[in-house]
Amino acid sequence: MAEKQMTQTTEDLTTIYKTLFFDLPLAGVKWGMGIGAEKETTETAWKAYDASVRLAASAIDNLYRSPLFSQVASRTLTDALRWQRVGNAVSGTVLTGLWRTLGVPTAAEVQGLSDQVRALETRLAQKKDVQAVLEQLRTLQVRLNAPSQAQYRNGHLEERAAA
Amino acid sequence: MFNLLQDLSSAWLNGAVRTLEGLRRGLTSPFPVYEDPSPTTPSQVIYEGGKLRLRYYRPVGRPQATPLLLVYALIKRPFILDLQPSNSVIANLTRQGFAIYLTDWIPPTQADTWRGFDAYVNGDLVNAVSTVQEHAGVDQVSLLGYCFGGLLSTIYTALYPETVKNFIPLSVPLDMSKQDIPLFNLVKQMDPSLLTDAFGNCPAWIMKTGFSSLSPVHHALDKYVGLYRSKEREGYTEMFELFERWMNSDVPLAGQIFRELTRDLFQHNLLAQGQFQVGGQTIDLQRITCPMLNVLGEYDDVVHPQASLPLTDLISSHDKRNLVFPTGHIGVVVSGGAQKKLWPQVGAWLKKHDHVLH
Repeated sequence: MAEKQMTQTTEDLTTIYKTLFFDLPLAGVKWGMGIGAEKETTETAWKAYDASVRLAASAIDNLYRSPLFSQVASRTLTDALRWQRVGNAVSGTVLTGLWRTLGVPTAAEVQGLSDQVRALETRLAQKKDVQAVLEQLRTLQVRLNAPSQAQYRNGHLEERAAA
Repeated sequence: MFNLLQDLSSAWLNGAVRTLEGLRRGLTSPFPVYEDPSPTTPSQVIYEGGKLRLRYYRPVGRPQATPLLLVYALIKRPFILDLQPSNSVIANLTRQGFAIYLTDWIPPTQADTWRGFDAYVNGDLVNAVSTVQEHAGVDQVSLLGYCFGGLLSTIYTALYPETVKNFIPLSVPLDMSKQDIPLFNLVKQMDPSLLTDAFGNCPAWIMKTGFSSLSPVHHALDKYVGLYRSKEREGYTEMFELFERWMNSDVPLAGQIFRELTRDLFQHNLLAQGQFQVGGQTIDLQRITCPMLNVLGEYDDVVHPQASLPLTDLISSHDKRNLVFPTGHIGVVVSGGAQKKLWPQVGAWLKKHDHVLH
């Protein structure tokens, strides 16, 4: 694996060197003199570019593989996360107290409410059909209730009149 | 030369805007799933509960006997499986006559930090399979799990083998002792509890940073150069835009499952060693006896093929084989080659096993 990678790196370095110092100037001159085509020059340039990208990617992979890098990166990440926790705790304590004193809801409370509203919105949007049916039912119920209430009122008035 | 610079800078700026939009979505709680692009294949939500929305895609033509449940990863949105009519795993399989059910996971909120493998497998996946059994009127389903979804479906199949007729893990990160991805060295040294103590869940922006760091040269420059060089190819620009939208669709990962994944699976490799526990039960991969087609990308740079291959030796099925396809991690689902060659092969394998009694 490492041997294959080494061979690839050597090949890429050779390609870049050869393309930049020989192939590309030659293709450029030929194009300038009207002997060669633009396509030839472009293809030569892309060859050098591809080799450079492979080389850069391989260098980054080697960096990731190095124990020193992973140690430094994980230590930095650990410290950053510890400070994030401290920051969360401090802002949570200080700001919550401040908002309470001012009578303003905390960001977490607003976020909680917003989450609930959004969840309801999503559910409602997906159940549009059900909602439409429910609305129709409600309309029907109102229509059904309306005469019965009138009947009740009339009956009640009749009872009072009789009394 | 001027055109090259102009096109590149314009593509790079568009990419920067997409990245910032992705970060904005990642910082929003809950993750706005309604910002997904329009689906290519029509679907119907037949179940919603827990953190799962189960989508049903009707088969085209004469249907196959066993329905196929696609278990998608908990990372990023699932529209990569249905990007364009000519580039859609779902459309490809429905055209072959399979009734498809897709787990469209609902991204976790701060109230879901407790969700681990137990909640996703013994809760949501069990409900998904029951719903499919009832909806399709079958006793067994075929399972296809992609990447992290492959892990979930492997664990499910080991726990409930009687409900699975055929099993297709796709680029499954199983044996972490063989995960030869350079950035993995960093994951090995990380304490996942520190991250979840600070954020609750693993935030989407951290997931995004992790994936971009796998190949920074590609994400910072080479993909834009690739766009410039291929802009004459028919449909390439549209495909690039959609693909980039998916790349920026990272979702948070619930705190508990992030801890289990990092500590128990990535760092201690407990699943491959037969010591991983879900809901108090040890996952014994030997309990998997159904036919299995282990599909992997030969040039996968997210899940190394060596990490997927050992699954074939760890299960006790008699009918099992590896299908190595010459593509990368995402190429298995979106490349033209995969649409023309891989998915018809997967379909043919499923059809062959559809009527066999086990």
